[in-house]
Amino acid sequence: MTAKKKIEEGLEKLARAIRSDDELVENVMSRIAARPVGESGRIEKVSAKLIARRLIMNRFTKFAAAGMLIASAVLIITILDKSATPAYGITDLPELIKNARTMHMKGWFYSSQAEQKNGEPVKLEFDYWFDIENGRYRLYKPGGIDKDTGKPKYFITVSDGQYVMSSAFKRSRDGRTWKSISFTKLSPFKARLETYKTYGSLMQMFGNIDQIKGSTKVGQEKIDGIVFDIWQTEFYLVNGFGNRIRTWLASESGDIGRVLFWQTRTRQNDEEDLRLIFDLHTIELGVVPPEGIFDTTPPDGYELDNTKETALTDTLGIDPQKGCQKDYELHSHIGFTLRNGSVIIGWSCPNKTRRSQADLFKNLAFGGKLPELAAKIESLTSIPDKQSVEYAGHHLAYTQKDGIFYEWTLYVPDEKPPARNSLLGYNLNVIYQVDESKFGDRSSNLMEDLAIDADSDFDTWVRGAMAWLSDDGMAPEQVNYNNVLRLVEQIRRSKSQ
Amino acid sequence: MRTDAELVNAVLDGEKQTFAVLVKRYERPVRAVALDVLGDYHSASDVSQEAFVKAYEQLDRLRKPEAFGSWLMKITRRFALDSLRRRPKESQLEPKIAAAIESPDGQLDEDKQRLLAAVVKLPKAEKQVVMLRYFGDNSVGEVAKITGRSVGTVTKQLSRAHKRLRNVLSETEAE
Repeated sequence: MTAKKKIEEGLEKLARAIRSDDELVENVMSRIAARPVGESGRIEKVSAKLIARRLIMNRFTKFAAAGMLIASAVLIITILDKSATPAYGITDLPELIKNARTMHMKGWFYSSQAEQKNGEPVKLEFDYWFDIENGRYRLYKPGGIDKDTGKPKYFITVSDGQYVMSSAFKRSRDGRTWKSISFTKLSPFKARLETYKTYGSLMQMFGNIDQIKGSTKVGQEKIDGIVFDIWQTEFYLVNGFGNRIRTWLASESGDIGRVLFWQTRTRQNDEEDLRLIFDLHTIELGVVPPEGIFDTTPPDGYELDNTKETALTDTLGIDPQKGCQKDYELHSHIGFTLRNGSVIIGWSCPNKTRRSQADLFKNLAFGGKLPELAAKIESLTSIPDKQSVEYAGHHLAYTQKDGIFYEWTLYVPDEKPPARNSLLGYNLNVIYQVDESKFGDRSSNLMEDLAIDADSDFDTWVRGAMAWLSDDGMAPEQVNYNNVLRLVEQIRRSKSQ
Repeated sequence: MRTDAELVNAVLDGEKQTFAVLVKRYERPVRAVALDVLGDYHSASDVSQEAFVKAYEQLDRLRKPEAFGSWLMKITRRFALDSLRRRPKESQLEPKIAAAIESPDGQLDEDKQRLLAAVVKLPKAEKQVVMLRYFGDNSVGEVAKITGRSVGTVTKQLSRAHKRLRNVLSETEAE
């Protein structure tokens, strides 16, 4: 055995000996729920019971009461004016945002970093563009204050649907600083997926349905000839920090005029303690992006880490050029959580010899057993796993691309699954049919899944992923939203009998 | 797979749940650093947790988001050393590394202790790629993606680390 091989084996053995601890993620996440992230920590989950209790007991009550009075006044006016037929209310906001194909949003973050120095917050501009269908986006956003210069640092990330261009600030050991650009190449499906996920995460700025459904209408304002209802909600985090979101929404058109977001500095729940976190003053849904906005030509003043020609490809599946480094690998490529709590994962277990696995995928039934590969993701456990909800795997279909077989498995929870808001991810429970030491890369969890709420989501993302990981670009016919929902019901019924 | 820098920026933008991805990614490297200092699994687990929470609290002070891994390991080491200083003296005399780093039969494995000690002494960049590659179950391409370095750079750093580990271990054996 060569010296290099010996070291590699030693490292692999050492890695196996340092056990993974699922509770760590759970413990860390539950502890940070009670803490702000550096300066931001802007949007949190809400504990409904706590909110209700605190709304009664603390000084925010005054504002809730004031809001209620104004809302009552608006209601009376609305009742008197029978011609008023509002079309859009605040609870329509998540759907309006989700259904937008393009979006532009621009505003200010108020940094507390500078506040610590001179008492005044620094306004930092951000500007985001999205073209979801074409996998394009442009993010121009602040990344804190440069401690050397005292000036804000801005980062640019642009996806043109083929390449992602990302900027970074770098510093050498001798203290030289510079700005750099790096490129990553994306498959068309991956480009759309990344855009959708980025869009989804930023839309948290508007508050989720749990946070905004308790909003009250606190006034109206006419901006550029459009009448906007002003909605306000106040909610508390499990840690006691207070939040307020105020949203300008045009009831006739569904236009969003402005969003302001405050959070308390401490856990005092004191109105005077609230500070403005961001002011989102431009929100354009369905806007036509300007020419060149998604251009990935490196801007002046940046050094290149790599070029488009040398960029690595970020694929959804196995890179056919790479192959296995050891005898076997196990990859979970993508995961989806359906509204009923069941999960679909696309995974593969390629081998070094690329020996065809066709025989293992023969005679598999829709809803039946998984293929007998060298390793198989037999079931899942939700993270956090306090409830120990286990999801048993059932074969849905397989696809094949570049000689690699991709298994698509449906995992059905054995009891009521955790609420989406409290779910961090899934542990993969793997059954190895050959010695584990023969495995190189292995996936052990799925931390980034996609929520599938409707058949259109299913067609776009689940069937889209299947089609992408298929030589003929087609998803298996039997795997559609209704068939999968029916299968989940059948499995549940058979278990309960 | 998102880079460390992308994940850090997402957390700073309010996507708090994304921090779980970073915790999962660095769980074992962090525990390894803590273990090297403390020698016992339970203390290392406690320190790992403290280190992640501290990293989260101070995330906006991280000047280079792409350096998250090295920064986190530095925090971990500091916490581990603090924890060691606070320990009653007698427990320092009985390191219980076997509890965490053990061979399948539960016996204390000195080779692993020695290798781990050598890994944590590697230069910052090399340590990060070794930990992500071996303790984080990532391919070379994935390590490149996570760290924002090129595959060539990661390969070179791994190769240098292997050489350094070989030298350190052969010196240790010679002693």
